[in-house]
Amino acid sequence: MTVSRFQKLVNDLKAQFLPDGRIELFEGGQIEMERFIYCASSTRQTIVETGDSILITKKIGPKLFVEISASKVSYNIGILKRVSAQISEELRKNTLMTVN
Amino acid sequence: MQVLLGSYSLESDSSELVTNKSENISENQIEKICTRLIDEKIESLTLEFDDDNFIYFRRFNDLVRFVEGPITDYAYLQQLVRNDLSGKIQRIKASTEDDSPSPQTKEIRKVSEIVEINKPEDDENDNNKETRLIHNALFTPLNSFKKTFQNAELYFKPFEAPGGDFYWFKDYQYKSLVVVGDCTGHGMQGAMIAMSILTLLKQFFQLPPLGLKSAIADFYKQLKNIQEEESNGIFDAELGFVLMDKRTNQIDFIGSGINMIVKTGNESQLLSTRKSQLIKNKQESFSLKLKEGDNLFIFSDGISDQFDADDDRKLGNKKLFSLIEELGDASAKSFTDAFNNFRGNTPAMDDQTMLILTI
Repeated sequence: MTVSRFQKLVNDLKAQFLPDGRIELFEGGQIEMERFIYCASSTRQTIVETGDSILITKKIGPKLFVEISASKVSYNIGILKRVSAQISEELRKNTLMTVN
Repeated sequence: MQVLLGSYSLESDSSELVTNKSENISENQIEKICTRLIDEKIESLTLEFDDDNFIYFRRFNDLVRFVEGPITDYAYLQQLVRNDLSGKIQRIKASTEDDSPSPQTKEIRKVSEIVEINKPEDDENDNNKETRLIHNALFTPLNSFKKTFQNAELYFKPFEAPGGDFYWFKDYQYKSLVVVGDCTGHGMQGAMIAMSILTLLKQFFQLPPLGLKSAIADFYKQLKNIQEEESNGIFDAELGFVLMDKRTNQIDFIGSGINMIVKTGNESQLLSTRKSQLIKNKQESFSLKLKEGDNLFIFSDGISDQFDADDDRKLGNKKLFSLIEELGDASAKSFTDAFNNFRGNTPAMDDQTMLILTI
């Protein structure tokens, strides 16, 4: 399963970039249709601000998504977007290395 | 439920009400999203699409505004919606009937003229052309400052072209970083060091610094590592960093030899920094809450070290402070007039940079 395969890497990235936040990987089937990322097939990332938290959902591959949430007190959208980009980059890189 | 439909063109500095310009998402889905924002009390939602466009939705109680545009303009456009993008409020269904912008809903947003002065005087001179090419290639275009500041003007006069003074600007989501630097040496040597330091800055400050003081200390550690690898000891620069929080107009200033004068209404304040303090890790940082219309004058020591018309006395920080206090407006032209009046025909002895920013 893709998620368990990357879990250790995600945990390491969380410790490095987002110690106070939450990072989770989802596979296509696990994402409910209500999620905004499913608004359109061309949606690659969504950012939701609710109360004091920010939630970013990013499409890493056709069936793999990463979800990051953190408190607005500690992070802003710009930083979280960069963190999400960094995580997807690391995962893509790692995927390529595993295949090779 | 009311929805304000907006699309903003940064290039033409105008906003037009155009519904769903990029057609990444259907009208029906937009309506559903707006309803969900209100029902679930979501403050804002950003949808980014594969074609590098985005739609940003913002809820204000029972009103949802949204703006659509290219992702490169994200920070600016979403700020515009937060700050009240004015326009006609329409019901979604009504807007689908006519997608063309209505003349009554068009709003022109004026951006202050950005003036760059002291361009090479002789356009035909090859050296000047080269200098201008290097300058344009290395330095942030003054136009990009308008993402954060109302106005940005520059007095830039190298002692020997292309010069070792530089300035750099980085726009983040809610914050902006401005750096003014004065590298060791003049001419080509200074420019080469400036280029290397600019590259380091771009690499080091990809993310906004959480604490400016510790970030600068870390940055200087990097510089020190590079210095140790070269024998002449010329790879060095005096720097001044201004970190501005766009939401609150709060600025943090820290530096190592670059000084700043802040002009707020009728009051002015000189914030001076010394490299020796940084080396001892005792650098002083300044934190100020500013308001719209306040001005920042960030300058290299070439300005304050300028001798007067009799070639007798230096301008110095105190006299420069008075000179800026007496300026009629915060324009590079006013500053140049006053500065030229002081120095007469006495030549400059160093690269001179004065960056003037209006909040």
